[in-house]
Amino acid sequence: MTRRRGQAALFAVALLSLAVLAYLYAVSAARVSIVYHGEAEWMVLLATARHSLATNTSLDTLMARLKPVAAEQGVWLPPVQWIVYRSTNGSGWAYTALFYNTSLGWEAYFAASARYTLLGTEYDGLGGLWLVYNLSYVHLYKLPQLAYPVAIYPEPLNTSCSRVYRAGEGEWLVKLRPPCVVRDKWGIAVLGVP
Amino acid sequence: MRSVEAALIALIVAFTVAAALRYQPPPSPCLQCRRDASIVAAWLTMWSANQSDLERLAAEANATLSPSPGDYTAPIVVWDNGTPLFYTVGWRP
Repeated sequence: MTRRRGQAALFAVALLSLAVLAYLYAVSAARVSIVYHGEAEWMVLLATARHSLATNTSLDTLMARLKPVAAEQGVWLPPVQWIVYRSTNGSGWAYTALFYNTSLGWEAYFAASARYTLLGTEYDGLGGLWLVYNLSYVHLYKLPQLAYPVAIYPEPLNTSCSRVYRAGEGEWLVKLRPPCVVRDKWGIAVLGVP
Repeated sequence: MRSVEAALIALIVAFTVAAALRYQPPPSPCLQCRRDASIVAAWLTMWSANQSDLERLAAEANATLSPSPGDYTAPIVVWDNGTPLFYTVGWRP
């Protein structure tokens, strides 16, 4: 009698265990899988354009490097074409990389611009000449998912030949001793004096 | 009950409890959660200049670069001397 009870208990426990395991499996397998491609993938393209500006490497070259690595990593990239606009004059520069797919109506861009004005000169105690500039510097990141571009104001970095002081949002007072190039943290040459 | 039956019952119970404790539910099909994870990844890509930058910013955003099975994930790229380095960020609502 005791033996039968033991067998029955073993059978019941095994059955219960199977039920629990089957439930866990069913809960895992029944979930609907949703794949979302969006802001992150588009920003990969805009970061590539930013690196193109920073390193003065053509965007075509960097996109050709990006695509196989993305495919290898299983990262989907939006099917787009791109075009780059650059302009420079005595008071600043502007860069825009536009990514677009006309048939799908997608558009995104990375834009960066710097405007500067020479305010004057200063001499340090050692007789070195310093040029004092007022600088406005901005990045714009426009994704298809957003109605407006996101503006950020990266800080130009101090170097041995420059001193940067914040004068407002995206506004800087820059003192530099030529020859000098002031860059941001991505390596973009914001202001250069030969 | 014989000792062999008792041992088998204990073994089955232990195995089942261990399986239930180790079980991690897959991410729910929450579209907004996936979008939020994608926005976090985009923000990290936008602000990161290198890997240490990325690690610091990911910690600030309560995200991880070593996602767990239950995390919502999205890709990040950091360019390093002409080489694209991809990371996967994991984020939970």
